[in-house]
Amino acid sequence: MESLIPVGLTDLQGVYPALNLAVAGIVILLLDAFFPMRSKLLSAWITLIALHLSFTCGLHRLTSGMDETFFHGAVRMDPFTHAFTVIICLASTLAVLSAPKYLRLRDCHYAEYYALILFSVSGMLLFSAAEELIMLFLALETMSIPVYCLVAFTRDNEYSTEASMKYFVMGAFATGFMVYGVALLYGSAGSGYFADLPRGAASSPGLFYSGMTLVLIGFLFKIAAVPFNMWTPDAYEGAPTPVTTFMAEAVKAAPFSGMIKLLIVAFGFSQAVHLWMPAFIGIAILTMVVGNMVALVQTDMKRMLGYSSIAHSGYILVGIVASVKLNSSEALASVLYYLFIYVLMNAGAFGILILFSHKNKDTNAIDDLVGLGRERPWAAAFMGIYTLSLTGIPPLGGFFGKFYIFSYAIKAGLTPLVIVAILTSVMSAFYYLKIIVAMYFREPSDPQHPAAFSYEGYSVFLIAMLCFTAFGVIYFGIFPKTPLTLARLAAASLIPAP
Amino acid sequence: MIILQTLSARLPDILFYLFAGLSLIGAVQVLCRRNPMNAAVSMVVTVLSIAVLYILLSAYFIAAAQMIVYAGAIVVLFIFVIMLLNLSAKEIGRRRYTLFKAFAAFVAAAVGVSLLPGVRGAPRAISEQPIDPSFGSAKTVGRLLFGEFLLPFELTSILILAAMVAGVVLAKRDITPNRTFSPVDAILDLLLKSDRKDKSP
Amino acid sequence: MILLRYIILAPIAALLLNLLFGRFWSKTTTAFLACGAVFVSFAAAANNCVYMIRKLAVPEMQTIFDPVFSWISVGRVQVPVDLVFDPLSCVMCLIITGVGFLIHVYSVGYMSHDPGFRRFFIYLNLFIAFMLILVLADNLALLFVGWEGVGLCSYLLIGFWHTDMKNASAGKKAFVVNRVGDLGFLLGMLLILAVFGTLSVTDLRELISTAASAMTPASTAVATTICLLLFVGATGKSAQIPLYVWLPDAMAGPTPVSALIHAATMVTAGVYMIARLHFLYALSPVASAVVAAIGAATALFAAVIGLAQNDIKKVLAYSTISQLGYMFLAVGVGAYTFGIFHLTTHAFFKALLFLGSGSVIHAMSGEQDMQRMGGLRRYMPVTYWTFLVGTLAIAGIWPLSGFFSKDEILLSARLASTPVLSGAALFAIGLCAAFLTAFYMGRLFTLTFFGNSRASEETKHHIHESPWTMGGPLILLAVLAAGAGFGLRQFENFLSPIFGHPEEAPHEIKLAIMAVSLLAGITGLALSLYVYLRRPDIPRKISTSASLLCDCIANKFYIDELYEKTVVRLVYIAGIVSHAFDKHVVDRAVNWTGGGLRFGGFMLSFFQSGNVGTYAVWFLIGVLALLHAMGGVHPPPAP
Repeated sequence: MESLIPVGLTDLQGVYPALNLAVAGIVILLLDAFFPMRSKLLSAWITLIALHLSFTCGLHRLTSGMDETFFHGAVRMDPFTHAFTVIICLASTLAVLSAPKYLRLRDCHYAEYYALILFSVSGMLLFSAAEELIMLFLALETMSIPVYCLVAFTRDNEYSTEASMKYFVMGAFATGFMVYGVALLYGSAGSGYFADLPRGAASSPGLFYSGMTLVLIGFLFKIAAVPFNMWTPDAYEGAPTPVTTFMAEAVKAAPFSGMIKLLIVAFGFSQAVHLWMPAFIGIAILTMVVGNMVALVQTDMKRMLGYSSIAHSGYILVGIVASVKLNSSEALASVLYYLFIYVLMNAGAFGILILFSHKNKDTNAIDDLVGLGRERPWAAAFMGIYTLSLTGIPPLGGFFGKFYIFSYAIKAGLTPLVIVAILTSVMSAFYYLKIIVAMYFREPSDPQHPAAFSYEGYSVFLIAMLCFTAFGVIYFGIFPKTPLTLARLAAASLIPAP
Repeated sequence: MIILQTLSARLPDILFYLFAGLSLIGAVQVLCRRNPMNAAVSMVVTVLSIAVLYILLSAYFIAAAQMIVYAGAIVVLFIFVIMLLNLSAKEIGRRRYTLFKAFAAFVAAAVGVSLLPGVRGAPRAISEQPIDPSFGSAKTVGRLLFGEFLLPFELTSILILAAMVAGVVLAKRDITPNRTFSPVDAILDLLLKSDRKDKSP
Repeated sequence: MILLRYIILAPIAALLLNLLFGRFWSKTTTAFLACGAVFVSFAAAANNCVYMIRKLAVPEMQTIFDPVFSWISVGRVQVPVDLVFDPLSCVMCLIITGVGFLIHVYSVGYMSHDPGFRRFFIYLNLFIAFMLILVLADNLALLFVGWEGVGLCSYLLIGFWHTDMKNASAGKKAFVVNRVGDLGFLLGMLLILAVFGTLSVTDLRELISTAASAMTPASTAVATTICLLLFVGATGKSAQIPLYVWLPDAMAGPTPVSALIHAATMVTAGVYMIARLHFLYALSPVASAVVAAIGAATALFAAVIGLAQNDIKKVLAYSTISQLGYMFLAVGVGAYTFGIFHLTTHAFFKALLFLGSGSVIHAMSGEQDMQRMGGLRRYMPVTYWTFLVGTLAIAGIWPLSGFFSKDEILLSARLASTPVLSGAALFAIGLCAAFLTAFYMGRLFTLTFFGNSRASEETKHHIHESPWTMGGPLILLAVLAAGAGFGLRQFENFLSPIFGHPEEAPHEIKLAIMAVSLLAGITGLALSLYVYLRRPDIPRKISTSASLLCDCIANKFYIDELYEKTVVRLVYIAGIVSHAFDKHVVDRAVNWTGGGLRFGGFMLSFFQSGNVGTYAVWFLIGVLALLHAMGGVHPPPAP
């Protein structure tokens, strides 16, 4: 009998970013048990500090180019993972910054909120590091289950609970397929490690390809690709806005990490690529068309942003397909850059909604923004920046994100796909500009009593978040070099230069 | 005699199909029963049949774990909850058959059929490998859990903690803190009060 | 050495501060920030210039290179934001920031009563920043950013008093005419990218210097096309035939704007661009000849129109067009150094003249018609003397700067020996233009400062010398306009790393041409003085006896009307047609598309029923489709 392979301190250090967050979550729970009256804002601070530590750790590792495996190969800490650590921690920080005041307005400012966020984020970080199917699956669930609860966090709101229920049921449904896929893949290859999976295609292709399909379906559900997107608008609309922010960014970005890793490491051999790539192209087209088209007729901003996030998944899928087809790390880097910018601009847009949310009512309808440009020029200007960036107007970040992805897609010979992508982006301008038109050009229906815009959701946290995102969208649009260089570093660890 | 001999030789196969079928029937029953109590009992059937399948694979430890954890703990918990809720027939409502449900069933069946060809090619690959006699024993499982799969195993603890917190947040009637509940605050109060007593004349 | 990006960042910082916090502080602070920032840029540029002169002996140190960041990089197309500071951009930088600083200071006085004071300085700083980007850019794409940026600022500043319809439409005219030119520039740029695969001027220069020996007729044709397309852009920005029509109208803007943008800096961008790409123009004799011919023609044509204008700023505007023609003539015949030298001296004396005219207009309570001026010499000594210097300089009287630069251009034109154009003809045209320049400037000067005042009593009462913020810049510019000519040899040496040393002309020819051009200037001035001071009846006689010709000239040869009748009418008709097309075909199509999309979205949103069961079925259909598509059902054989 072989003896147990020891697990050392280095392994724990290896997963430090995730471990740190999980511990912080437990600390928050304990603090809340012992100091219930003082724990709320303290929890927020602990969360921010923990996220910051993970963020800096990820950034440091990314720049130092650390590439090691831990826990007998269950996780691999490579630059690609670090890049996602950075993006996820950033996205979560932005979401957490937007939360405290809103939750207080809704009378549900509990410490559990932060604990759940931290558990979820630690799941995401392990997810992006996973090199093995069981690890991948468990991390995905650790990421998802807190979110189901967070969606229903305003428990008295029936929309919120209904949305959570739907999300949970659909999530469980998707999880079922995913577990099945994991089992089939394991059965075909006799091992769960990504690098071993391709041999399953040789020994039992039937199992392998069924498993591949089912696992990918699990991912497509998480990133809300059509037709697995149905939960998105409902969950986005029903969830408390800070949770929507969290979902639209961190929960959205994280699944891409595992999916890209699997697609390149496990399903990157030519036979598998020939099978999944046409399907992914079809899904990308469907996702872009449906997401943008349905967004056109929405009147609720959260719902509209939900559909727009579906559409953005489509653009990212285009980038992924292009980078696999080109086998180019630069193309993959453009996907990472896009995710980074997407996180910034989306967080900002939701932040403005939070800024104007009232005690018992959200300011979500596009009509609610009429006259904002006159009443609150700064807030309107910020919102304008985010929307223009989401539309893809140069020189904002959103433009360069799309520009890079599309130009690599053209290089990969995916011209029809790019044409669809550009047409749908043009389509998206209609509904994004609707916001700007409402803010600046529409007259209030009752000119005697224009809507009063009170900063009820105001908090220093939120203002910091808005300033940072607006600055980032502009700055990283004009100076994309730093994020791009880091992204290229990260992508090169997954697709080595030929 | 010959029949008996062949029967005993084929016994594992026969048992497999028998219990696999039972588990499927149980699973379908869980879905279709309107009465939650019936559904829970059907789930016991499924869970136990699967335990038998583990035994057939000579994974005795896992079979035992399956019985104790699922049949023993989880389903019993379900039944407790169902009994506490004490739903009446009116609340449960009646089953309705719609065209949509038929369509859904058809699609689901189509998915099932589509999965068949893939699965059919499987046994060849796996049965050719000789099974280690220690497979499925407590020791092997333990070694795997604390060796190769240590991190996923530990992650489940976070997962379950998160699920627990989530459950509490959603289900507890009132989670606004109650001052008297806090031991530390109580101690602080006590100290402060005694302090005040000293100063008062 | 100071990093080049800080030269650009200073005005940007000032404008951002003024934009964000300007309303919290006084006009003085705003003005101080705006002027200070430009001065900081000037100091930085001067510092770098000194640094460069010290290192001039070392060939590789002749340029300062500042790679700021890589802006766009997709495969082969690289657009880095690289700034380059070589003698040429050094000269331009010093002009822009130096003259720009003086004009900023002048504006503090000129705009002091204007409610749009802060807005004005924000625009001015923005202009300086874009102009610096234009001249410091190593990459044509970045140059184009500056090119468009200064166009935008020019548009904003021409229409600065946009409540007046006339000003707004002048701004619009400038904008539209410049678009035509920009189209040419953009096409030229794309062609460069297609042919050479790079937009970096440094790389282009190296590519061409290695490939110049292997020129074929085809590649010459390509070079000619590129050069002509770029020149179309230059005619738009630098107001040459046929796209000059916007510049006289642009005088609707505040006078400091006319001085800074429409005389000293922006309008010279076309000349700068050609000088920057001189190695490209050297490949194509035809394109160079076109540049020279258009330049000479514009110089003469605009000078003729300038004879009969009564608006003091219009005269100066046509004079600017005419002098820009000289610069193009110079670069067209390959005398790049002298083109840039004339650009420099012109920046001094024309800024001086514009600021002087601004001072006059300020004193005359906004009156711009020279017929109602006169006799201002007594009231405004500073303006009078500085204006005199400017007039003598532009007329080319020794020893003022205009004499040197103009003389060198005429000399180069005379010596030019292109197969297409005769140098003698260019010289003759240039000489005529020089005579006319002296004449109309003399006329302007006489009508404004001599004789008896023809202003109304009330205006006369208000006439006063301008404050020191306006007088100071005038004096400084006058000193520069007077003395700059003596720096010609140093200037030549300084630019020689880029353009090389011009050939030394035979001494006799040099002297002869000096004499002739000086004569032209003096006779022009003298004649105008005589005519308008002693015999004011002569112009009247001429205008009655040759009324047709005079009408023609006074109405700018009816070019505006010609454009109005042809191009604008055509565009208008095209507009009507396309409007109809737009309304009846495109609009309907768009409405239908929009409606269709909305309808589609509406239909699709039906699937979003809110029922989890429906969602699950769609999910399952997706699973089914993917299982079939991804080989779950029909797995490919094992490899």
